[in-house]
Amino acid sequence: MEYLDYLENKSIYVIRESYARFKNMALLWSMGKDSTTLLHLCMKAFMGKIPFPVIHIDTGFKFPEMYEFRDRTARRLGLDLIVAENRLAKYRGMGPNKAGASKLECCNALKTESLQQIVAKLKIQSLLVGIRRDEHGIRAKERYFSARDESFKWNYTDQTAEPWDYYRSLERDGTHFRVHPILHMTEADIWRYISREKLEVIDLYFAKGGKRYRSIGCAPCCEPVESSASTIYEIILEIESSKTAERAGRAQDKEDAYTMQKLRSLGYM
Amino acid sequence: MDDEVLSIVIAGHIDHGKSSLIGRLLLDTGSLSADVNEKILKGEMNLAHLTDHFLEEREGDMTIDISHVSFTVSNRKYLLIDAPGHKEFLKNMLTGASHADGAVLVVDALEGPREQTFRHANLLSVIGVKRVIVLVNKMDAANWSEDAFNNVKDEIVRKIRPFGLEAMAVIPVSAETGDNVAKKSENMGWYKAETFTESLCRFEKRRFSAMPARFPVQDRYEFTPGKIVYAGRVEAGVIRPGDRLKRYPGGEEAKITAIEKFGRPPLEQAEAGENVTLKLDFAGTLKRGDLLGAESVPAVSRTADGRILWISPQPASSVKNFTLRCATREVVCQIADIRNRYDAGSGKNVESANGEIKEAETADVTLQLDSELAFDRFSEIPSTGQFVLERGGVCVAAGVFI
Repeated sequence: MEYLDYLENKSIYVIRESYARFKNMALLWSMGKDSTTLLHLCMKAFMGKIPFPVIHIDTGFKFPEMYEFRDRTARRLGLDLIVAENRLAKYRGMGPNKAGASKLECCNALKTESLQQIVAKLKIQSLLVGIRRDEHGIRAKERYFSARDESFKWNYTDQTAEPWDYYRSLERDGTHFRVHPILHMTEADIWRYISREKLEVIDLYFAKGGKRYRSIGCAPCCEPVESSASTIYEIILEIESSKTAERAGRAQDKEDAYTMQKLRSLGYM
Repeated sequence: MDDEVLSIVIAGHIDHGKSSLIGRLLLDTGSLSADVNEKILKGEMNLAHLTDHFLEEREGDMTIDISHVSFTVSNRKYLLIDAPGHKEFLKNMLTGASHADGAVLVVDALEGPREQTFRHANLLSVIGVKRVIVLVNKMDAANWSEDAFNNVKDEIVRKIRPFGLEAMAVIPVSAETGDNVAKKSENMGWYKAETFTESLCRFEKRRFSAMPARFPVQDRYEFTPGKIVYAGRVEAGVIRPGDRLKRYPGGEEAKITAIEKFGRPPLEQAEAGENVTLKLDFAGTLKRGDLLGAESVPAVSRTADGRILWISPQPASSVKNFTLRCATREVVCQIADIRNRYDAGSGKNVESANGEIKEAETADVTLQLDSELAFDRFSEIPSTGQFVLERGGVCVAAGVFI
C-alpha cells in the first residue's frame, strides 16, 4: 500500500468508528490546511455527503480570505455549516489587543468558551478535530478518542489505554469525546496529501513578497515566516530542509512554554 | 522512500535511558529544529526532555505518557513510540506497543535487566511484538567495558527467551555520548557489529494480506434510500468482487457485488488495511459486529480461551461482567477460569485460588460469552485474534485468543 493510502485508511477508520458509535457528532473546521484535509477525509468516508454539522469557531479575528473560502467551500460541498462565537466575550471587548488580557485569556474566551457553548447547545458527543502529533509536543500525547469531562478538562496524566484500534467510547451525560483522525499525519504528509488529492487551500500558505503563513488562525496573532515557497512542492521541500517549528509564528504558543498544555487542559483544540 | 512507516516501541526499566536514547537519535539524525538543536548543544536542554512535554514530566524527570517521533534512516521512515517505564503507566506502554512492528529494549549496563524490563518483555510477548533489538545503554558509565557488556548481554538474552522474544541484535551504546546510536563508537573498538540505526533495517512491516479474508462490518450506510452499503476495513487477506464470503456467526453466504471507495472507479480488489464499502448480494441485513470471512473458518463459540494482560488498578474479581471487544463486535462476558497467573515484575507465578488477577499481571483465562462470537487464534490471524475487556467503557485488559 502506498504511504498516503496508509495514512488515509487510518483516518477513515477513525472517522467511521466515531460515526458508528455516536449519534451527535460534528467536525471542527478552521479552514486551515489540516482541518480542510479532515473535511475531505470525511467526504470520502461518507461517500461525498457529510452526515453531521461542520462547526467553525469564529473569533471574528480571522483573515478575510478564510471567511471567503469558508462560505464558498460550504456551498460547494453542501455542508451543514454552523458558525459559533462567544458573543458575550466579544461584546465585552475581548480581543488580542485588549488591555490586561493575555493571549491565553483571549484564546480561552473566544475559542474554548465558544466551543463549550456550542457543544452544550448541540449536545455533541463526539467532535472531530484536525490536530496532529508532530504539531506540538503536547499534541503528541493525545489519543485518537480523548474524553473531556463536564468542565471540558483533559486529564492527561491518567489517559485510558487505547490498544490496537479499540477506542474508548462510553459517554456519560455532559461529557464528550475529542476524536483526532489525522493525529498520525505530519505537516509534510498533509501537504503531500493535499497535492495528491488536489485540494484547494487558502492562498495565505503560499509565499508572496518573500513571506508566507505556515500556520493560520487569528490574523493579529499570526506572523508570516520568511519563505519563497509559492507551490506545494516548494513548501514540502522547505519543511523538510528547514527545522523551525511549524507553530513558531503563533503568538499563543510563545508566552510561556506550557501555554499549550494549559490551553489544552482547559479544553482548547 | 519505503511506502509505509515502521513503528517501533522503546521499552525498558525506568531510568535506563529510553527518553535520552530518542533525544540522541533525533539529534544525530538531524531531525531536530534549529532552535532545539542549539539549546541542546549549549547545554540548556536535556536530551531526555525532548519528548517529555508535560510540565510534570520535566519537573519530575520522568515520562508520563507516550510520545511519537518520526525520523528517516536510509530512506526508510520510522515512527518511534516512547512510552513510560513506570509500573503505573503500563497501560500507556500497552497503547504504544500495540501499534508497533518491533521493539527496542533498553537496559542499563550497570544495573542489568530490572523489574520493568521483564514487565515490558512480557507485555510485548502477550501482544505479539516478538522481534526485539536490545540496547545495553550507559556504556560510558561502565567504562566502555566489554566484560560489563557481555555480562548484561548474556543475562538479558537468557532471561527474555522464555517470553518467546527474539533478540535480533544486542548493541552496546551510550545515549548520553551517542556512541553506537547513530555513529560508530570510538570508545568501544572491541565491538565490530552494527550501530543502532544500522540495526533498524532488520525490522519488517507486519503484513496481513496473505491470510484468509476477514471483513468485520463496521457500519451499515443507507445514504441513498434503498441502497445499502457496508463499511469496514479488510483486516486480513484480499477481497474481490464476486467473492463468496460467509457471515459469522451464522454461516450464511454473502456475495460481494462491488467494492468501493469514494471518488474512485469500483475497485478490482481490496487488501488488508483498506477501508472500503461493500455492496453485497445477501438475504437479509448485516449489522456492525458481524464478521465476513472466507477460506479457513473462524471459531464461533460462547466460550473462548485467551491470554490477557490486566492493566486496571481494580482487580478482576471486583466486577462480574465485562464487555469484550473483538474487531467491531462487542459481547458481554465473564471470566470463567484463570490459569497461569503470572507477575513478570517478580518473575513469579501467582496462585489464583480466589479467581483474582491484579494490575500488571498476565493470565490465561476462559471467557464465558453471553452470545456467540466469531474469532481467530491470534497466532493465525492477529487482527481478529486480539481483544480488549472493558468495564464502564474503559479498557481494563488486553488479550489474544490462544
